[in-house]
Amino acid sequence: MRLEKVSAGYDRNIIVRDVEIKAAKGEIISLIGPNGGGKSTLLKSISGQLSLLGGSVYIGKDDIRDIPLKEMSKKLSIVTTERIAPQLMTAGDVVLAGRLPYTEGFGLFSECDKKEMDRAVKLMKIEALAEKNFSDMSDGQKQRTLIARAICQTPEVLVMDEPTSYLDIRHRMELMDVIKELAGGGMSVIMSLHELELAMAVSDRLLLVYEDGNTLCDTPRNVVERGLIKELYDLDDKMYERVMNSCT
Amino acid sequence: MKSKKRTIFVFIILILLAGIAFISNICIGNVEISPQDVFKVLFSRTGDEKIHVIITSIRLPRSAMTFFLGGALAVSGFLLQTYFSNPIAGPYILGISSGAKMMVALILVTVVGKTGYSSNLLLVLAAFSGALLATGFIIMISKVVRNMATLLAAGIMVGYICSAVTDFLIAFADDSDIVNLHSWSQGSFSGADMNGVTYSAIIVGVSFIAVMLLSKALDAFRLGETYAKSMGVNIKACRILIIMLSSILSACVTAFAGPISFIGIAVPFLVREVLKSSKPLILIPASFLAGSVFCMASDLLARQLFAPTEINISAVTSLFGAPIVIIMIIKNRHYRN
Repeated sequence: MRLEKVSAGYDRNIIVRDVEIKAAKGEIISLIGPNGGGKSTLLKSISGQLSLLGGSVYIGKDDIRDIPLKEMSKKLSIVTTERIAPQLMTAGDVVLAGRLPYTEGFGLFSECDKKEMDRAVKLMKIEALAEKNFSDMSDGQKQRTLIARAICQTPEVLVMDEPTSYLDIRHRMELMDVIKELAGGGMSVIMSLHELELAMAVSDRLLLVYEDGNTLCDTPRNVVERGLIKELYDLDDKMYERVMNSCT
Repeated sequence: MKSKKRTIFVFIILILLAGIAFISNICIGNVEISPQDVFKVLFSRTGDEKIHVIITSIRLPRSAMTFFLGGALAVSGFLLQTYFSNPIAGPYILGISSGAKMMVALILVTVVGKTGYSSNLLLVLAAFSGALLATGFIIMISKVVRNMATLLAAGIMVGYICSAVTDFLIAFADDSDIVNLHSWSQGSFSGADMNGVTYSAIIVGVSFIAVMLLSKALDAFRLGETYAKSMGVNIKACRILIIMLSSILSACVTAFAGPISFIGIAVPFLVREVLKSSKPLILIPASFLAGSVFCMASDLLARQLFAPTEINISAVTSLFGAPIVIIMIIKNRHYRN
């Protein structure tokens, strides 16, 4: 996935401007930055939920605006912060819904689709929940199910907005392992994270989204060496020291 | 696998019930006819002349009409529930049936009353435009306020306004029209003829196939619009199709039988509960069959309960449908807490 001079925002208000990144196959890029800086807006814009206010996003050679919806759904999948309340669906049904782009006509699933579901369910370790009603599950369980659904869609690019929300510490770490495994298989992962220490550990590169709408992309190591976190979150010396201690 | 067995079982039961209800509707009446006689008339075209007339020109059209339109109502309700993501949505409660009723009454009083010209097509088109008018209004309100209760209140108000206009029209109509208008505007299958059955079978049949073709998109819709779009569903086109199809279906019902209450809400809910699934591919045909059974049973009661006086069918469907909806509201509240 390649972003060229991307500007994102709502209506005509640009919130994030001139973003340039190229996510190679299997690369993990994390968006970090203060609340309200526009991380979600940017993620929504590159995944086609919001229209771009400027620039272009390419998957492979194609501009996402030229990719038909159905093709797009095989190339990119999402995990949003929106909470959903499907009626009478088990966690397994929700995960399997990720295969709908690959079905024909009436949306009947093949054996191959069911295998992909099993794979995603195992990867996210939600086997025990598969038969449980989605609306009866805890927020953390729902979140893991929705991530499994996005994985089940077997995209080239996985876009996740705060995938760690609602997850306890163990599930957060497990999620990071899953993301590394997916990237190892060639999937590009672009996500926003609030936990700096996780972002530092898992990402190939960080995209810093500043409050004023500017962005900067660099490796975690360089971000630390150049001391960029301090300015990004507008921290004083003491706070910065504490943050850095927790990250290393 | 357990759910697959359940689905097959439910479908077998529904088909059996539909068969039984259909035969009963033909057999039971002021003149009792045995099932054997019915088969004789239908398949070997022998038997008593009088019974032949009763079956082919009265009972058969009426039963067939009830079968198609009952199913249409349930599917229409299912579509509206998907569109508004609200389990209590239905063509009657949102005022869509009343909108259709108003336009049909208008056409009956003006065109038919003045010129004497009438056709099924004209009535269906009038009902369809009325249904779209009411639906458009509800959609406009739903864009401003995103609240379930407000939406329903708005729908009920639209229903009242349209019914009031209909009453005015009836008051101004000539005497001869009123007799027809009055029983029809309360909802009734009396007066069904084969011509009407053919019309409704074609309209309902084509719409039903179109709805089935939408079932994959509706499946994705269960996870909300954002996810549906990311799974390749063209949301805008899909929403327009949902509204058009639900309007056509409820308009067809209103044009031929008047407004009928509660089937649109109660049946999809019951079917979901029995199937323990909300998968559109199985829910749509199951709702259709269950709607047919519900409607045929209600019509039989409406005819026979105080025979020879016929009560309007909405009285029966309300009596059984409203308690189901109340249970549904209580159950939904329980889920959320």
